[in-house]
Amino acid sequence: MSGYRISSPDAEGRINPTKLLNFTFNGRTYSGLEGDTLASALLANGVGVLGRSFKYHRPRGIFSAGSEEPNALVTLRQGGRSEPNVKATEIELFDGLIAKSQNCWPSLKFDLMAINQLAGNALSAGFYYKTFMGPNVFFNRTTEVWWQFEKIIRRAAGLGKASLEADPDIYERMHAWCDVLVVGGGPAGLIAGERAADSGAKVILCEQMAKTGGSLVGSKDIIDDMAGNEWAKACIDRLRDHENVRILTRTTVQSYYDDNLLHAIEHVADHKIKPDAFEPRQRSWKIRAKSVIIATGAFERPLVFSGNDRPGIMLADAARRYAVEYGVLPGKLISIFTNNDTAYHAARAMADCGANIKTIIDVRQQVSGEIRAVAASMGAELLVGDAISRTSGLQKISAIHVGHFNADSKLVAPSTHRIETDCLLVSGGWSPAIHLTSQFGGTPIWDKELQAFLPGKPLQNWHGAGAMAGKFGLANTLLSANDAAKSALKSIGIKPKKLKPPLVISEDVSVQPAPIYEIRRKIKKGKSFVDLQHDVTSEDVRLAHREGFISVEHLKRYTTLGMATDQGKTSNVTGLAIMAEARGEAIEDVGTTRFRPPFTPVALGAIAGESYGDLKPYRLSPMNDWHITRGANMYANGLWMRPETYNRSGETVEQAYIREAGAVRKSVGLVDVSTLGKIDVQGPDAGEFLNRIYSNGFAKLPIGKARYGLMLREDGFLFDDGTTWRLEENHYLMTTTTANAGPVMEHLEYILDVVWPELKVSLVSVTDQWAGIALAGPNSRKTLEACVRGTDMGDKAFPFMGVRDGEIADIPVKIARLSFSGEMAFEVFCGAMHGQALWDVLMEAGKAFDITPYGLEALSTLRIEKGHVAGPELNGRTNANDLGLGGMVSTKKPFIGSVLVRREALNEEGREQLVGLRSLDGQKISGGSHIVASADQVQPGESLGHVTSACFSPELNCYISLGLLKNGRARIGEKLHVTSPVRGTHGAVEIVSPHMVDPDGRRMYG
Amino acid sequence: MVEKTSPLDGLLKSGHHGRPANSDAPADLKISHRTCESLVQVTAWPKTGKGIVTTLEKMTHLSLEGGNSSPANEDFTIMPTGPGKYLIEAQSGDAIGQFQKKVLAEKGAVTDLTHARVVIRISGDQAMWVLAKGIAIDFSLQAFPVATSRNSAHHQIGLTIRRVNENAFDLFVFTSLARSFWHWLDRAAKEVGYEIVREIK
Repeated sequence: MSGYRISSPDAEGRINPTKLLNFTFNGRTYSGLEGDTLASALLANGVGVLGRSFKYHRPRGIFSAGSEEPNALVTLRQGGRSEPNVKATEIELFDGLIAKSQNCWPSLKFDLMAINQLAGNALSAGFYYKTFMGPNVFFNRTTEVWWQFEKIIRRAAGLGKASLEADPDIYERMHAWCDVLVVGGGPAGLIAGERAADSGAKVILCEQMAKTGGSLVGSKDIIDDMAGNEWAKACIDRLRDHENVRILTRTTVQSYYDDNLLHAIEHVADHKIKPDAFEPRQRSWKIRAKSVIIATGAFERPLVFSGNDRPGIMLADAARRYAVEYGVLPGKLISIFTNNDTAYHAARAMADCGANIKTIIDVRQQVSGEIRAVAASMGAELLVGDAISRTSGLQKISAIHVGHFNADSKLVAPSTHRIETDCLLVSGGWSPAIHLTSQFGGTPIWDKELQAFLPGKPLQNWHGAGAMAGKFGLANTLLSANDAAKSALKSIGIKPKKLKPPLVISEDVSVQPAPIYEIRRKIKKGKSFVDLQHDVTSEDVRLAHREGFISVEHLKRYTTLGMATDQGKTSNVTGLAIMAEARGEAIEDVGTTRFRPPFTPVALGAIAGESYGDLKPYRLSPMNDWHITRGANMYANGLWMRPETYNRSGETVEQAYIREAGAVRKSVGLVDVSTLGKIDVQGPDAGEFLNRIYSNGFAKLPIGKARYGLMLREDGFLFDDGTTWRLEENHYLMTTTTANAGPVMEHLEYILDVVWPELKVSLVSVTDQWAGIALAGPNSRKTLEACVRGTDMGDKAFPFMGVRDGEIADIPVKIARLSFSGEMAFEVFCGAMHGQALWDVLMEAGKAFDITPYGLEALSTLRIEKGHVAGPELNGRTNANDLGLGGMVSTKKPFIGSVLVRREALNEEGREQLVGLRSLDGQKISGGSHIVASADQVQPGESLGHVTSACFSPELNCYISLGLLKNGRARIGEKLHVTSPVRGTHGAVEIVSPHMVDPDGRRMYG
Repeated sequence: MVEKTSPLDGLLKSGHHGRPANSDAPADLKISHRTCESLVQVTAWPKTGKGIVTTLEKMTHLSLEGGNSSPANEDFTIMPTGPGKYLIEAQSGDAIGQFQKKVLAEKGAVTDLTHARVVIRISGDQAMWVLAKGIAIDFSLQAFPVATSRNSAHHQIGLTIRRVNENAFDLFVFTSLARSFWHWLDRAAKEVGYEIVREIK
């Protein structure tokens, strides 16, 4: 291919001839024009080879002018902004652009892996399965061989490489609603959009290119006495004046989902070297449209023949577009190979721009006189009934070999002509771009005249317009778009405004091709490519057929036909036609695969949108800043950030939690428990509701008292635990575990709404209303006494499980005497926005007792010592009896889970039961370790249970844990082992009661 | 009484942020935040919805027109958040007591949420554009009229949104999630540029 820039296209195209841009391709600097794509600029500079093919590493050039491009994939930009596998045909040129070829080494011109071409049939469809997969026994070690070669093969066959650097740019999401979404800004989209907008509909119009107009750009069509391009400009200007219209250029509608939800990607700043400050690079749109007008046009498809992949071979209409839209001719000596009339008109448009059209080879046996006249008008030699048998050339095409085509046998005779050419334009007919309608499940319908699939019956409220709906030719396109707009408006109850149909002067071109897809030679020689991007040949399709993969779905997966970044836009129909012929059936009987979203590749950044840096939201306690200021190690507990330990200088986490837990046992500590789930339960039936929810009795809970409650799932397993405080006659405050707050709220709302809707109960999450601080230790009461007003903190006045209102430094508080640590302890709740103030007062009040803030590790240590269960024990597989809480399961009342908790399986012998474990050899016990009988680390024997929670106990001065052990309660006193093959640890333990500290509760009860 | 400490205190720094404003055209988008004097949820029982509406109308001198209608006067703003559920912002600190007195247990429940939400007000022609980046709500005036409210979620963060006027919205955000939400809003608003102000009337 020896492309070059012509002075300027006759009609106004996409480029600005006065603005020169410099760019670099494979390290060499070139210049192009504003409005160019990278492909048009490279063509204008005579660059014909852009990359190497996927499997065979054959040189490849520019094949199309849009999103259907299978060959010209490049890596764009550098560093963190580097993006592989971008189609040169879709890249808008900008000053300073840097692009390079992919899948070649050491250079594009000399690629060592081109040796793959010599492997011939060995690399055909199913290569991996046949060669490297199989049994791995005796001498047949194919799977092992595969492991060895996999890396090399994967490196040799592939596309570009993603950057390992972080992308510095911003990506955003956007939600939008409209009455009518118009997909496509060509003539059909424009007129449909204008009609909808004039009728008062709220319209969004998406056009994938920077400039609207589609096929009118650079055309010589006349609409309403205006040049097509001018008409398009005037139309878009009128649309812009509408307040009810949003025009999104550089925006590709990628996907069509249920409920008329469509997804589009707006390339906000992809045409710049980098986005402006605070500007997103791409924006991902979710558009909810009442109705959709799809005006996505059609893709030209190629013909399949030997050597049809050489650089310099291009789709005919793509070449036309380069000429009239970009002022670039792709070659100096151009030949055409076609099975339809449209290629002639493409050739003439190019000839009008100065192209030298040397030969037209038409595979049809007859062509019309008009078409002959078109060929003659260009001075082109016309060979009717002939076909290309092969091509020749080294890095790019230099000649074609032409022979007579036998329409019955579909074979081409040995060549009779050798025609020198540097550019071969091919046209095998047109495939409407039905991708969006296909994505949503509308079965495409085969049209024999067009030899193409048309969209099937709409399953949602969409309306096809123009070539996408099989209406080719400008006049037909505008008429169908007008009809589409009318039906779209009516479907949503908007009366379409009457519109005078535009007067069109345009050449009427037949788009009906001869049903010829492949030119075969009698002697099989050379490769005929169906899918250029994945190097799938026509022989691969026939091989799939021979090997039984005759379904189109199997064909796709066995050969990879139609996969990868172009999703087979130029290859699907041809592949199906070849399979249909192999099966001896008609194409419509063979069927087609369904197009899947997205229409073109989507950057991962665009999918992530604003969710970068932190992939989920975080919840902060009111005292969060204090924790951080005091050096707390914060870590995520669900969405919450919680202090793990407050490390002093030089302290490890273990040293810190041992110190903190020890301080609680010795004097007093305070911990932030604001993260506990809190649910306000009110109503005349609140007590009854709680009594049905918890497994233990709540009917007689007095006002001013709290009770520990067990909540079961319907299947009888433990769901959650926590305390519920009775504040007033009909008013309770329920607390849940931090992790289960959401699920418990959902569970309760479901039960109330669906199971017992008659109950007068209100459930409101008040987790964020209350800050919670737990004070624990022998001096906790004294600390509170120093600052609380309005309530008697004495043991009798404020007994264990008592709940009282009070005031601390003018802050209204609720205090409950509860203990998770096993020490004398209180939980103090206040309004969340007073939380820090309360914390400060308590710290001050506790100074006299050397009060110590403690984190989750110490909190866990204290409860493990005491044998209190938490998340690791409430693991969804345990029941109350397993955890020694069987006494809390009432036998006198029904409650959620009361039937299934009595299942035999939940009460049988041999279930794992909660026990304590004490290390006998000083070794650390790790959570998740298995409990085994054997002292042999290598052969530890069967697992008898596992460690759920472990720590170093400052009180017992040894490593301890809680665990679930088969028949655990009966094994107390036994000496077993804990083993962790993952960590390589194995140690001796004694099985003890889970209540390892203060088993009779003297400290707690005071 | 001790002053309330909002999680956004000190985070929303006065002045201009994001894309520089043109000197001729200062930032159109303005953001402020506040805590509520009182915020309560009133919940009706299964068959007391009408009675609750009557009580609330008498108490607040506002007319509840049903649907998403969110009336307001100088003292109260009522936002329906579900069938028989109303989030009510009151300008008086002792509103919870007043509501508890009037909404007797036979009719429904009153829950204090004063500390459970912070309110971010976003105002300006670009407010809808910025909010639509993360919140799947149609912010057009036809779909979301002035003095109506919606419950929605952004990035797992639930929020109640009230349209104050044509281009101003109050966002009632969970207190514990307020900084995370602000982190997003700040990013979203920087594209157009915004100004933090003390109060937006």
